[in-house]
Amino acid sequence: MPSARTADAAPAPAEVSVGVGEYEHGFSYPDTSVFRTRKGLDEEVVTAISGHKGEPEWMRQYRLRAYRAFRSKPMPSWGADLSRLDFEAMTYYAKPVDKQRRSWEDVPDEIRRTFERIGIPEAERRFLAGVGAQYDSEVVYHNLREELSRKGVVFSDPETAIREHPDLVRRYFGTVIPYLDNKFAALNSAVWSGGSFIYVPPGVRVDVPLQAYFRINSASFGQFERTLIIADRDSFVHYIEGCTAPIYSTESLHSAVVEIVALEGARVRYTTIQNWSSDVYNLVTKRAVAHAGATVEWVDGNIGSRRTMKYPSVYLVGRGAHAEILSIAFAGKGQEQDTGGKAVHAASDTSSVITAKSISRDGGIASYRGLLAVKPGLTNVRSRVVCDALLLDERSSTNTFPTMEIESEDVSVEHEARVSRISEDQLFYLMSRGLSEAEASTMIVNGFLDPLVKQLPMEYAVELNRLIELQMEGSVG
Amino acid sequence: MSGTTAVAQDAGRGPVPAPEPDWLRNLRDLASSRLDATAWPTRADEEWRRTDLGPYGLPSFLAESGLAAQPTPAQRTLESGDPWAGSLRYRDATCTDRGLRADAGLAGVLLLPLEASWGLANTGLEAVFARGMESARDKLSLWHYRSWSHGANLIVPAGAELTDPIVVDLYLGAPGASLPHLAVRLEPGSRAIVVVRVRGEAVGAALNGRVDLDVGEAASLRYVEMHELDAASLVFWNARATVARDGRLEHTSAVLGSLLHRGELDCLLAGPGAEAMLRGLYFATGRQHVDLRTAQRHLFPRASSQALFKGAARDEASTVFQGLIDVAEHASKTDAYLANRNLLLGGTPRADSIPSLSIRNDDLRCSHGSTTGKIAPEERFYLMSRGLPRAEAQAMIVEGYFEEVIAHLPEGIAAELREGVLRRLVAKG
Repeated sequence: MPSARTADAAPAPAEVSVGVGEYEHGFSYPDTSVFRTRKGLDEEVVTAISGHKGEPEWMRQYRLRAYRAFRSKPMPSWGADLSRLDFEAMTYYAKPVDKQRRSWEDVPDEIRRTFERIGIPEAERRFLAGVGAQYDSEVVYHNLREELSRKGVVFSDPETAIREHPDLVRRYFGTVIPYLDNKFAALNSAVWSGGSFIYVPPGVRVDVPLQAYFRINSASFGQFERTLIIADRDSFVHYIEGCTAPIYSTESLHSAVVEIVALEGARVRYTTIQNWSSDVYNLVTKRAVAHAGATVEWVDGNIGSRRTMKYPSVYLVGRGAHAEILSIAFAGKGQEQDTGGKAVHAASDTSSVITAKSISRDGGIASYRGLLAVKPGLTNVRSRVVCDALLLDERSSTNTFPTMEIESEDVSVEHEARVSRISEDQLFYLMSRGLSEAEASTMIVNGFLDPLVKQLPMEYAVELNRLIELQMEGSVG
Repeated sequence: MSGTTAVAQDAGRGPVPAPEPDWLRNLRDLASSRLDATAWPTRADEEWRRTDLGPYGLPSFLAESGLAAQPTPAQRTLESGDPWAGSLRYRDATCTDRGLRADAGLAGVLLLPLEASWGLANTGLEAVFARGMESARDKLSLWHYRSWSHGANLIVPAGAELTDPIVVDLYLGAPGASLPHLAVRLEPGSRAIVVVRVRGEAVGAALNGRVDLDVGEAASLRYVEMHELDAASLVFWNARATVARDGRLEHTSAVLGSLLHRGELDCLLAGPGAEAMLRGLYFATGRQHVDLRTAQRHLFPRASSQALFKGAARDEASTVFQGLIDVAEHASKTDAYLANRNLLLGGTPRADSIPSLSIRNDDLRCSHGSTTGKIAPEERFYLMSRGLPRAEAQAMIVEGYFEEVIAHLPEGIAAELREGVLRRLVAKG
């Protein structure tokens, strides 16, 4: 009978443990056993994952049903090229302690140089590279936690949330993105691990952006993060995922699921800067439901990965709800960024704005894929979608595939898309001021992205600008 | 390429009908075997996602092999005062009339029933059909290549400049399948205007037609087609246009009838300096379903193309417009634009708009836009405040809306299209 363990760990998972002295990352973590499922995926692996997390029966059954759905669903017949994904060659779960053992010397040169250029503090660099000695975020995190818990805000990982707030989780988990939604949502629903769970009580405003970064341990960079954010009536929260520093990952598939529920009058902003290393397939399902008077804003930046397919969506189900989706994609050599957004209007007096900007360079392919749907019988629905694509050389490509499905007549729906290259006049102007062509191009590209970058917290904006500079030089692969 | 064998413009007899050449019989056989091996498209096929063929009973039309062509009449000489420079008329698959003016300007113009063109050399038809067959993948295209029965073959010789239009009338009187094929070729430097009118009260016909337009170097073609079949008929209309270096195509299509209209217009800008202007109007009421696809394909540098498709939908009708601009790697200095406008006029209509861009060259100007909405209340109010009843105000606004597509046409055709729009406006269901 094949067992879901490493070949050299003989006893059952619960009995294997590593002493605290060997655990060099310095985080507190409930269970320090070494545990890794074997390669490939079947019901036994899924059951082992659930068992190792000590989950209640209902979650284990949920995972198993999702696993069966994953097996029965076909791969998408559209989108980025996924032909080299091999589901049987991957490991679907490995305990964080075990995952990122690596020495500073093993970290690739480009990664180390990037940290330098972007200005990542020394202390963070090792952590981000998975070498992870000391990282001071624990202190920051502890202070933040006290303040949040005084307001009744819950900010933890989903495993903890299942233990401490089972009713909340059960009410909303899987309601925004059912496991039958698509193959990768099914996969995530079966093998998810880590991510964030946030609950904001009615009327509470969380003024500091919550970042996975604070709570970081390597589970946050996990392959199958599952995030659930519930903003109760009239609350506000801003959540930031990822960071501009390249995440060096040996895992080839990252398939996260993010669900957001914005109840009446709530406002949620979710910012992502994705910069996975260049061998990663990043296939994500992100969706929000906005109730009456609620606002959901997605700010989505895609710089890294080999293939990204991600379309943050908002379902406007209550009167007066509003959606904004801002998307930036940078496709360099060997990359395909297939991104965009969806706004589905299922209530009257709703509005949505989708702004997507992409840059393709050195053979990269950036595609916008989006949906603007207006269901029947609605009144006063307004929407505007603008896509701008910049091609930096003749080897690069861009595609735009927007879809508008309008079933009510009292609407105003506008869509426009433009493709262009850097204007010769703008280049000449800057060069005549003494800038080199590379400097001028970079400045123009940063200007192109500016409306979106302005929406980011400042330290991200600065890092992103520097990252773009790096990309423009082609020194980051 | 140079000149075609002119047909004796002898009022006495038409061309002696020749049997179908081998290449054509082979092509039909090939289409037939592929047809049998292909299933009807379903909504699982991306291209047919928005049109469900199930309810229309297509297999029963397929079982009929199409109406057999009848012998063609002799060509008559049109008076110089005739509004048309040439005419070719069909009732179902039978050619009922052929005419051509005898002016010097029309010397060398060939306007023949397609099914009677086999006796001529250098018509280029073998290549046209071979190209079409290569890209015939779905059951409807294969059905056409197996069973097409009649159509028009128009060749305008190099340098000829026709200032009056040539008309092809396809009138459907009998229910059942009808499969026409139109082949138009303009040789270098020539100019022509072609009008195609598809009309009928057949009550339940299925029209599966194809158009091949070949615009030669520095030639200029203005082409207009109007579709106004009865409310139970089905139309599958597939057009391919190729515009050579410095050539110019102005294509206008109007969809004003039939229960289902599925149209495709694939325009290839096949040389530097080629230009294409594609305009369309569609007005769906009652339970009509209109599904239009266009493609502007840029393969060469310095070509330009524009597409403007304006639609309106009402009652329980549904419309789909999918437009693609595809720019290949070497097509620098491309200038391409696509616009789709949809006007929703009450009831529970549905309008889908999917403009796409697929761009592989950076030195270009390329953009698209799509808007969907209802009549602006202030505009309607303005007209009503001048004393017009609501329905008339609405009608005036709709006419004005479509004018952008109609205004460029020769006056006679423009007037016909305006009347067609009016008929749609007052149609009950």
